[in-house]
Amino acid sequence: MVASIVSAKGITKRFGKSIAVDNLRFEIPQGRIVGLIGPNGSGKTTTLKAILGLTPFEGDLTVLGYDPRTQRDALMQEVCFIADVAILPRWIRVSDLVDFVAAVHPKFDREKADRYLAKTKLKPTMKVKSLSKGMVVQLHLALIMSIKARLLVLDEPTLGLDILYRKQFYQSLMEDYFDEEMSIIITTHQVEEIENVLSDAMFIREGKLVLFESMDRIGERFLEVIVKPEFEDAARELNPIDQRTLFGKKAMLFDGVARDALEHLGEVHAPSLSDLFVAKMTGALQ
Amino acid sequence: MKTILWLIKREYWEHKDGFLWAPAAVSALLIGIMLLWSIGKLFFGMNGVLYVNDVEVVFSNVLSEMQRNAIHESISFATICLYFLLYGLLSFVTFFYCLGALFDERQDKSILFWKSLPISDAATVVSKAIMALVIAPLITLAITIVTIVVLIALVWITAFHGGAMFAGHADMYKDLLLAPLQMALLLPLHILWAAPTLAWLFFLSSAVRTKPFLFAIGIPLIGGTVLAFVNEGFHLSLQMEILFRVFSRAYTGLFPGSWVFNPGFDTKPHINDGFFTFIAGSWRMAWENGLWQGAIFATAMLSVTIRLRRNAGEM
Repeated sequence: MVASIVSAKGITKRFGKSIAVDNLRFEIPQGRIVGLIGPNGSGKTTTLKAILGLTPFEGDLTVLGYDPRTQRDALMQEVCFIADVAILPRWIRVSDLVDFVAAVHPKFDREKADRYLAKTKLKPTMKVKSLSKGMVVQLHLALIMSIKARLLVLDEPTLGLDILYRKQFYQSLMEDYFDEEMSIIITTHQVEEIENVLSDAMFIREGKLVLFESMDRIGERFLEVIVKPEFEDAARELNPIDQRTLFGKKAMLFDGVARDALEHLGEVHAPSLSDLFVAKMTGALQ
Repeated sequence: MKTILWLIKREYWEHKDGFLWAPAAVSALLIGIMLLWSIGKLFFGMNGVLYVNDVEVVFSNVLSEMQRNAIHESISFATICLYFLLYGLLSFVTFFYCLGALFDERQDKSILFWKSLPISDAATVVSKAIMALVIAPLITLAITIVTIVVLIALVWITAFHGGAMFAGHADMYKDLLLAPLQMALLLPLHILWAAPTLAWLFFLSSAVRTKPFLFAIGIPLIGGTVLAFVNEGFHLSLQMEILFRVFSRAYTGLFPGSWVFNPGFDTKPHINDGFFTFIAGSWRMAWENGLWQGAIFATAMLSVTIRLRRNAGEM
C-alpha cells in the first residue's frame, strides 16, 4: 500500500457565479510524477493553489495528511513549489537568499545548493534584478532542489524559457532530485516536453477531470489506427473517440479497443500525449 | 524565534536605503556643514569670536552668564533641529514602508516565493511591525547619538583652538547629551503610540489592490468631508473636533514624540519639563488619550492583516 500524497474528495472553487473547479476527486500516490494538463482557464492553477493552501475552496482535500486551509504552516515544511519562474524578490542578493532559505527551511541542504550554484555563472554578490531570466530560474531551481520535500508543485515552470534551459530543467529534475518517496505535480502547455517525464497524466477541462491514468495504462487503453480506406466503415463501427485526416487517410483514435481487433484495419500505433489531449478536449466539445 | 530574526534581517536588507542610508546621509550632511564652519574657524582665523544668537562670545575660559545662556539656547535649538530632521525622516520613511509592507510583495508576485517557504503569515506580519516600530527607531537613535558626539567634538576642538575649554561647561550641552537617553527611554511608549497607525497602514497595504497611498490619504479626506457635509446639511451637530483628533492622532502617530506637538490634545508635556518629568508626562498624556484603546485597535487590525495575507496571492 503506497501512501497517498494528495487526496481530493470533491473540491469545488467558485468565482462569483462561474465554477473554476467542479467537484474534483483524485488521489496522487507517492512516487508519481503527474502532469496536470488542460487548456487556459480550465482550473489547473486553481487546483494547484488549493493544494498549496493559497486559496480557500469547498470540499475535502488532504495533502500529506494536512488540510491546506488550516495547517498550511506545517504543510509547507514538506511541500515545495515554483508558482512562476520570475518571482524571486528582485532586491535580494544571491548569497543573502541562500542564507535566508537555509535559516528558515529545516529541510534545506546548504551543501547541495552550493554545489548546484557552483555549476552556474551565478555569483554570491549578484542581485536578482541584475540576473537574466534563465539565471533566475537556475537560482530558484538550485534552492528548490536543495530542499528535501515530499511534494513538489511546478506551475508552468519553464514558461518563457528557451529550449536549452527547458531541457536542462527536466533533466536535472529527473536525475538529481526525484525519488520514490516523493511526488511531483507539473502543469504546462508544452505537453511534448514532459511526455517522457510523466508517470501519470491528468486532463482537466472546465474544472472537471476528463482523464486521469498512468502513462502505462494510457499506452494500453488508447491506440491510433491509420485506417485503410476500405476498412473505414468497419473502423467507425468500433466507435473511435476522435478522427483526423493524415496524408489522405483517416487516423482514428480508439479508447479501450484491443490491439488485435484493430490490427487488420491498418497501421496501429500509440498516440502522442498531445494528440490524445487534443482528442479529449475537442471530443468533449462535439 | 530564529525565523522571526531572519525575517527582520530580510526586511532590513530590503529597506536599508530608507532606514539606514537616508538618515546616515542627513547626519553626514549636518556634520559636513559643521566641519566647514570648524575649518573656517580654525584655518581662516576668525580670532575666536563667535556670534551665538547675536551675543558675541569670545572664546576664553571664563564665560559670562549671558554667554553661557546663549550657547545653551543655541545648542538646545540644534538638538530640536536634529530631532526633527532625523525623526521626521524616520516617520516619513516608516509611513511608506508600512504602505508597501504587504502591497509590494503582491504587486511584484514575490509573495508566491515567500509563501513557498515554511513561514507563517503571523511571523511575517509581526517581523514587519518589529522592523518599523523597534529596529528602525533604534537605527535612527544610533545615528542621532553618533551625530551628536561628532558635533560636540567639533565644537570642542574649534573652541579649544580658540582658547576656550568648553569641555568644562557640561551644563551647556547636557540637553544635547541627554536627549538620546530620553528618546531611548520613551521607545516603549513610541511603540504603543505608533502601533495603531502602523496597523491601520498595514491593513490598507494588505487589503487594497491598487495605490495604497491614495487610500491612506483619501479615506480620511473623503470621509471627513462627507461627514462634515452631512453634519452641516442635517444639523446633526456632531463633534467634528473628535474626528479631527482621531485623524491627527492617526496620521502623526509614526512620528516619535508626536504627542508633544499633536494639535489634537490639550495637556501636553513640554520638552523643557526636565528629564523624568517629561517622560512621566508623556506616559500620562498618552494614557489619558487612548493608549490602551489604540493598542486594542492595533491588535485587531494586525489580526485582520494576518488573515488577509493568508489568502493573498499575486495581483
